[in-house]
Amino acid sequence: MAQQDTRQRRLAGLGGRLVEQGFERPGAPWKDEGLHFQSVVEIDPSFAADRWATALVDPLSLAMLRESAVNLPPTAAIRENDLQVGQRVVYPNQGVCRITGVEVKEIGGLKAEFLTMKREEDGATVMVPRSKLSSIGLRHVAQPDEIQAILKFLEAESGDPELDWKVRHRTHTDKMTDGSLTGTAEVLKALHGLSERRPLPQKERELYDSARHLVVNEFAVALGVSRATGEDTVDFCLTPPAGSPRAQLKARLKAEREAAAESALLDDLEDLVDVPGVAIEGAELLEDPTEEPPKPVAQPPKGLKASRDAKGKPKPPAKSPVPPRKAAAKKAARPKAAGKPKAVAKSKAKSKDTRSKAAKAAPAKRKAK
Amino acid sequence: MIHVVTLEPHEPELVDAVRRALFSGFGVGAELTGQFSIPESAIVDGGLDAEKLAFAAESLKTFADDKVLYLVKRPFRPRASPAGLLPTHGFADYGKERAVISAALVTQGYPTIEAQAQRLAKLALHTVGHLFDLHHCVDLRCAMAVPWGMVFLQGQTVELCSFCRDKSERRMKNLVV
Repeated sequence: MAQQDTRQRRLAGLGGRLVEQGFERPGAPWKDEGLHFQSVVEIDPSFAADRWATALVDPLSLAMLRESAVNLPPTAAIRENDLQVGQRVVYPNQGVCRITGVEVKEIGGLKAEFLTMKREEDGATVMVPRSKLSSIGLRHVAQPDEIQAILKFLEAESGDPELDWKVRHRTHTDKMTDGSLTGTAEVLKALHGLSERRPLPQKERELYDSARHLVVNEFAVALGVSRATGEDTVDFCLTPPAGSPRAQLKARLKAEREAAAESALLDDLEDLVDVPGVAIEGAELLEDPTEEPPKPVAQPPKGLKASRDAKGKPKPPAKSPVPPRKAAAKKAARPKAAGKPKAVAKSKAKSKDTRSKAAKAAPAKRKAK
Repeated sequence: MIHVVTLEPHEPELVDAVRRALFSGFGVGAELTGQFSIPESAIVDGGLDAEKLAFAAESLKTFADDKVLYLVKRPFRPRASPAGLLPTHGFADYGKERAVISAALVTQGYPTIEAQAQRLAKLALHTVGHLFDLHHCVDLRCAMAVPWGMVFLQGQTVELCSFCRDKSERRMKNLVV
């Protein structure tokens, strides 16, 4: 029931968000659940039916679910009749709690029934109005088969992390509020993958710690082991010991991914080099070094003014102290010139030329007068 | 107060390094309280079980927020988990009182006593960190990083990152209150 409600809430938000992003389909509104699922299946048919909503939130989830297409089982939501005193349940963002009873409290003149629970790790009391039980996301502790599926998901190679922090934050917050173990594990893995590329900001570091705390606690309870073993199990999948076959496989996958990314980048660069009129600094590095440099062709003097000095004697042809290729390399090596965009450098050079021409032309004008 | 208890004879340099690291890491006193023996019940199939040892070792008279760290030299048997056999450097009862570490895995391959002391101190800081509810850290230089990583074993720093230090301080304040 709680999952249905969450799905409906997500749908309402997603419809608007997808239309904003340009994913509009004429005549087929995004609100339609069937179409949503159909569109995801078009992208990757291996998705589990109940995971589509998360997949549509952002491409990161999409990539992650592609890895976790091992049919992550849905966590069993709680029905009101299932509840028993002494039973262990999972409260979203709070962790594993034990039901202690039902209390009737009077608040503002109204009597309401509250389900009271004790958080297992520190004994804090949590009270939930009985009328909100279905919508709050209370669920059973994960079963061992679900834990196995999540371990497989954690040890799979992670995709590229979402770099837009706003999208990332929204996605992760949604998943944490949802309260499912799968969503929390997805947040944990995404932030772990991001932390391998750059240090996490403070807020995300806290979110990572919170997600890790919830996952470790539930693993420990579900497997009936200590929290230390639960955490080591999670980390054994996320960062396997160096030298182990699991670590070697992960390293190979990572190297393959990086090589593919590098070759794609080189392809793009080569395409850019081929476009006439686009200059890329350092593009000469891409040229074949075995090729001989083209011989400089002697340019005939264009006009008398340019080839003669003030006395009217012919000027000797200007000799460059270094060959043009070396000069270009030197120019590239200069820190200031390297940092400037080409267009700016060209315009500056042009303005210098016009100034010198004007300076040369001024005495000639005076003489003519 | 953190009590350091040896269950096998250790070089004084190793114990000193552990005490100093705990004091600088958490800002609370750490002292060598005594030497006990390994209980028979902690030996399973000829190997030493870290979890059983932590609970079966002789107890000390402590205050509510005291922590006890037991030191042994022989290696622990790996723990079984759904992901496979976990390499076991130590064990901590998260957020509670007792932890145990072994010098076997972290000191092997390091001939000098200084190098051994540094690695054992880092492992002690890591394991006692779990007693203050710290989880594994993403910062590889932090002592709370995953203990089987190469950076953990080869890194020169024996300290907590700012996030872990803040969290442990908050936890200690809550304990006192």
